[in-house]
Amino acid sequence: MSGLARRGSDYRRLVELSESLLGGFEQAGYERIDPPMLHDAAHVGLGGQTLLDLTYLMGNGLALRSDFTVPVYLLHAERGRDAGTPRYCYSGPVFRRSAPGDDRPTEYLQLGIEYFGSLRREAADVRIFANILAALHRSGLKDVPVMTGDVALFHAVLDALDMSDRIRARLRGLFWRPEQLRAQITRMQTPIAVPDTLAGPDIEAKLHDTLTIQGKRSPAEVAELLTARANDMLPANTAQTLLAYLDITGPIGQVPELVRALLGDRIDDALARFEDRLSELCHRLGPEALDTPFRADFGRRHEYYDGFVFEMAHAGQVIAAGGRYDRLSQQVGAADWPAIGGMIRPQILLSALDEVAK
Amino acid sequence: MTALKLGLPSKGRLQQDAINWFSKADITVARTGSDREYAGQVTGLDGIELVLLSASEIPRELAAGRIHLGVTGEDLIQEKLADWAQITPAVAHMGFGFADLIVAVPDSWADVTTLRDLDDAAAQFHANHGHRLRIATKYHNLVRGFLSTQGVADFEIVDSQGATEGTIKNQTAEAIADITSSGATLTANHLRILTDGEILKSQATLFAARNAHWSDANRATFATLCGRLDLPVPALT
Repeated sequence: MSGLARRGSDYRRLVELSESLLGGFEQAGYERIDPPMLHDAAHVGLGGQTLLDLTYLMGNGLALRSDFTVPVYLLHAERGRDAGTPRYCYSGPVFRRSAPGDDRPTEYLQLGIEYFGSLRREAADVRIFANILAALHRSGLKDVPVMTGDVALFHAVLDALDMSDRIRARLRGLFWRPEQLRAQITRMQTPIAVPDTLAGPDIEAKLHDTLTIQGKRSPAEVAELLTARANDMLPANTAQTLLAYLDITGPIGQVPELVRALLGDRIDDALARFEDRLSELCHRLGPEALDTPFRADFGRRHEYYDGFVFEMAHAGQVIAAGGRYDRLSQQVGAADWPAIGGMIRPQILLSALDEVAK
Repeated sequence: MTALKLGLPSKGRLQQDAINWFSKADITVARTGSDREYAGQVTGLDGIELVLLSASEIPRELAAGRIHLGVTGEDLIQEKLADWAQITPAVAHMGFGFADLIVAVPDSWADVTTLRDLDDAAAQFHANHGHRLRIATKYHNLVRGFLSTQGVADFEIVDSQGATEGTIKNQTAEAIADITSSGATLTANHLRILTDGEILKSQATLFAARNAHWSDANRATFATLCGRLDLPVPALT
């Protein structure tokens, strides 16, 4: 049952489940808010291609919310700086365009929490993760498969390895598409020669001389990409280390050891933060939390994430998920409000509970 | 008794080719009244009523079951209907109205010949210009679906219902996705098709509407029509 229950006993159960989840969050200190369904379409791209493709653009500069992250941030930003360490909870429908042939619902409920503040970020990561997990447990879902990842750790690995800034920026952007990322790492080791007709010192001038120039993408950009692909290569040992890093998968507690085996002490700062998070996990959820699965290439395809990410899924459907998005506030409003959030899909949770009960 | 409703394009080459095609089954479609009046008559097979529609509306009418049969391009059907194969099975490819839906870029993009190159250029463009590389098309769904399965990102679709080739010169888009038959318009506008940029090969096709009410008489008429054209009768439920 991923469709909407709008009446009858299913609807009743959905309301009760949602209210009990929200009540739990309010008790834990989250302020209940009601973000608008429509927001400035200019912010849609922050979620990356996946969310952009899924978002209904209303054609008047407004977008119908496809998740709560940006709307909650905008509501928070209205309050200004004196908001202390705000924590919010919310519930309501989100809207997703579906591609042809895709029978996923175009409207469903999301219910979640967001936490703004720069103090003890690793503790905040674990707090949100633990709050979401506890909410699922309280609802009756005891055993739910979890996956975690860390976008910041990937960035730290890129920063530590030998490559040009151009390649580093490109690979950062490709993180959201693991298949393309791996293909590019392989491809970027081999030069692609500039076509004979253009080869030589001034590619840009030759483009002007031989071809009709039109549009906003300039011959300088064409020349830049041709030159870069012919000369700016990803070193083979870097490529090998990167691919090995992306293949890391296993219990989150073992990640520092696996990463050190690849990179030695070159990313100690990032690993120190990772280990802080591990101690918080252990402290809050017990040592068995260190067995939580982790995948180095896991990022949930929401491109505003830039730190810890997590997802709980059942039978291929995401029940709950979340992640850290520290830079979003800088991109939207030139503020600096590091934040992490997590959400639950009550309808999917309900159907998972029904299946478990069978 | 309700006649079997056959939807044909209301004007142009597609209509004339469709009329010629049906004449192979000894079915004569004649426009009645003036050229400008959207009415017509079918003779040669009883029980068929002609409905003249804009080619782009035929997919919707088929999906709704307001017509039993309709002639339109596969491109329009696949763009407009999510589960088109379930809703409107193809009865026959008609051998005209050939059009390929393709992705094309300015010829001056010497660095872009494949979709992978396009992905490189899109990332570069987004970083340099502060907005995504814009692809002008009227086939939003087909293009978005194709590019995402082919691993291209950092683009946005901008709507273009006509003269799409001109959007690049006008700087309202950086690349286009449009239908082409000979490629002459593309060449004239200094555009080039990506080597792996073919999204769909389309031709005029006769579709049947599963959602239409098929009376026994309608089914019999349809079976006779298929028989005359040597076509297998597709399952209608």
